[in-house]
Amino acid sequence: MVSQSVIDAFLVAAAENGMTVHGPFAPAEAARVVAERAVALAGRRRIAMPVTDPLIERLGLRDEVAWAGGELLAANDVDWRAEIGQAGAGVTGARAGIAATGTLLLPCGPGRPRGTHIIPPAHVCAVRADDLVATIEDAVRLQSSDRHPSNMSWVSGPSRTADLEMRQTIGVHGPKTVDVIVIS
Amino acid sequence: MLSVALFVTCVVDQITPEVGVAAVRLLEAAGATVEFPSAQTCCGQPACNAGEPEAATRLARHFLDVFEPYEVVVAPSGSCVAMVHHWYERLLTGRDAERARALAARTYELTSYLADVLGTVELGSRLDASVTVHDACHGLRNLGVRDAPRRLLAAAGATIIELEEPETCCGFGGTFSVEHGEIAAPLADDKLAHAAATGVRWLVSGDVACLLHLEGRRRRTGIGPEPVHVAQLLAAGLAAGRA
Amino acid sequence: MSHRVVTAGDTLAERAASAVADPDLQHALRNLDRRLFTSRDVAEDFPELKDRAAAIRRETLADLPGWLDRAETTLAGLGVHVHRAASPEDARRIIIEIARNEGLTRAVKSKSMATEEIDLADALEDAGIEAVETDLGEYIVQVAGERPSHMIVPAIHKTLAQVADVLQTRADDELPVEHEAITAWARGHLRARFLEADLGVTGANFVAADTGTIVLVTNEGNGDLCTIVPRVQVAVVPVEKVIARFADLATLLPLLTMSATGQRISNYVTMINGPRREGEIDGPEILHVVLLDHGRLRLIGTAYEDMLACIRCGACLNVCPVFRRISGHAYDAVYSGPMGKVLTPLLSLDGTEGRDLPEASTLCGACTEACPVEIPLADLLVRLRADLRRPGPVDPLPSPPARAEPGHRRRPGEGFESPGLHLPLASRPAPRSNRRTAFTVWASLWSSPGGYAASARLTRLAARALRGRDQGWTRRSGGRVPALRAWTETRDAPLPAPQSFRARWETRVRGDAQW
Repeated sequence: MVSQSVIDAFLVAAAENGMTVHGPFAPAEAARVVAERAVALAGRRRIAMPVTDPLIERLGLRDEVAWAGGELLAANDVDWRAEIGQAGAGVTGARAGIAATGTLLLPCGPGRPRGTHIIPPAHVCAVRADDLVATIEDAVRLQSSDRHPSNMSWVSGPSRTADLEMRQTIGVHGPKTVDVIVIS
Repeated sequence: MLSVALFVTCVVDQITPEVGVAAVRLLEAAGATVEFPSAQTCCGQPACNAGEPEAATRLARHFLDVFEPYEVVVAPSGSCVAMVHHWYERLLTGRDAERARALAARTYELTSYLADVLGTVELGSRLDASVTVHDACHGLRNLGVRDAPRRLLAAAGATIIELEEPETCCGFGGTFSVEHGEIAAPLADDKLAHAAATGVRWLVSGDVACLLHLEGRRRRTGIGPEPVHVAQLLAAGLAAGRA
Repeated sequence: MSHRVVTAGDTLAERAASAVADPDLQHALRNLDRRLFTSRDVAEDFPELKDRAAAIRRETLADLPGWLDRAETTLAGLGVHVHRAASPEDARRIIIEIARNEGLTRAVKSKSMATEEIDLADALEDAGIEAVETDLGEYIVQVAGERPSHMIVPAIHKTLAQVADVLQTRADDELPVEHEAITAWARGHLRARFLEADLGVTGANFVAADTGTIVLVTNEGNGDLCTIVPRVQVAVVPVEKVIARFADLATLLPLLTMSATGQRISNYVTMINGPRREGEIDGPEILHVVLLDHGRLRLIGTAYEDMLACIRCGACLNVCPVFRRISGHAYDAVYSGPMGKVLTPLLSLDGTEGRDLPEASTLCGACTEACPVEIPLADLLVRLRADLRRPGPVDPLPSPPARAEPGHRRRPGEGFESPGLHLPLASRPAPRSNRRTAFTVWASLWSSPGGYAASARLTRLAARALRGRDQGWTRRSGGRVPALRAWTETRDAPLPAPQSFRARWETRVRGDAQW
């Protein structure tokens, strides 16, 4: 059981990183919010989504997005590679989150492509409160206890650069927005 | 009776003897008896920093020979004392390195000797002056001299207004200031401009070399308060304190 | 190769002077001042993190060859092709061969100092492979035909207007001089390159020997993008990027980002464990790691070993008074700032590069203080000044056994003198030079009171002959004294006092004067 202080710290740190934070919500409510946000952000473009992400499966997010009027680009679609560049939003489920830094841990795998969180202009991510850890050290330990995936991305906010006169500018290569929905 | 051997440093001896006189007066005001070992010359730092360790080593050995008989060695320069503390044991070998370590342990920068070792910040100096402090690099980073000059100045009644980036180098840097005057001068200008922005009367520091570099530049540009060694300013306040 | 050096000049002094006199550059560099932070402001636990990191780095370095073998085995187990490159030439040859064998023509690069070191982008272009930098700052300097001027902020030397001018050469519509607009244009322009690339070139911030994990740290997300679409990825990894354990990342990752940008963690940390696996639809099918030595391993067990602890955070650049005034191009080297002044001559296998760099330091020690892995940069600069008196490449001596912790492997023939002590700086004679002769004469005079007194008398006499004297100062050139001439170009020079301290002391002792 994750303590309330860890959840609170995660919400604060994620918001400080420039993510839009939602929840914590019960699973059904969380699924509705994820779908709503993804559909709103994607506009008329497709929504990229993994097909083996346990959290996405458990929340029934593919159905939820379809009900909310979104058009899916699922990771098992034959045109994924051709279409991912045109997708309007990517939806992921995080393996864990780090409270100290507001970080999401996103592993890849079969049915769980690495482009989902970074290629579309908007990223919507669900994370279970129970999967939050306190520190970077905890996250490193957690990762060591799993089998290392071929790629693990830690995401701590929208894509940003300070290369122009050292001023923070958002959305250089990756998503301009990151929405995080915490599931209680 | 407390006895202190003054290592006056070669720059003070030859160029700014008044700083040495001031150091003596402050040490005596703190109740010490000052001795001046007349065989002293230079700590060897110019050679060491120029990449001439053999020459530096000769000077280091000479320093050891001259100052080893004394219980306490004090110098009005963080940089020269840092040379003794940091580099002697790296330059010398065997027994000489041991000697160097032992001597370094009883060799002090003037303000930190007064304020930290003797614990005397109240020397009877009275200053009705506004000052800003430039932390000279080697004293600051090798010896941790930061509060001592400020405590002494504050105890004398000086108003301290901190300049921007007090810990940034003034651009002197020994051979650097000769080989790279094109960088050394603008760095001095930055320091002098920051000091000027405080509106104070004096720009105080604990190393004569920095002060000469800053004053040399100030004489060209006319910008900035007058650079002065902390000992000189404090000693000037001794007369006012007695009055 | 053919980089345009904006800050022109044959010598470091000339380039520095031109940098100081460039108003646009000085204006752009103020951005660095404004963002100047010290890592200790970022987090309370920074000092503890720093101590731990310093120890971790030293422990790995003590047996770096062993950890390299371990990393190679682990990486191979993940299906990674591992190559060892002794020199930049080797590395370029290996990578171009990979590209040719696989028929690759379009490369995207994420920011990496190692690929700068081996001049890879130019080499790829020469081999007919388009190579596009994707870090915004790197892209700007690539289009401008320049080198990065700061390892974390490659285009720090450019004002926004200058950036717009540079990128306009690649844009169809007119680019507004505005941060968001330029960023948005770059996003669109580079996005197409990401999606059509067949080769992703990256460096590595760390490679964990025990798991084979390649770690990339970015804020823009270009590290992720360079490793998603391209069919082949090549990571260029200088040997010291290999860390012993994945668990060490808990310390090294936050330490790197705090020191580089003041963030507790960067926006993206990409951890790659081998190529795409069965059933996966993106990521590289083929992954190569090129381990680059380039003179590094010969530093193990010497006084310069510490330099290999460097994690390329740029903290020493940000606090360096010299760098903050002249920025990277004046150094005319891949690595600039304090770490560059140390590393460049050490990496120069023929001893031709960066010989004058160690002189360009005030030895103020701000770099040593800022270094998150406790590299004694100022000390190494002093040591290099001594070692560079000999012609040819730096030939580092083995360091003393005091530093040889358990597990440290002595190399054959490694001889240790003066057991238990630091190896003296002056352990090897240097050839004659004017400077050396001057210091030798000086040392023999000043190591005796008589010699000191005589030379002081001479200096006083000589000073009297100086023109332009004014209350203890002189304004004019030093005539045939080069040091005085150089000084008086920008500053008045102090003259010896009429009476030395020791003379005044003697009058006091005699009772002639009261203090």
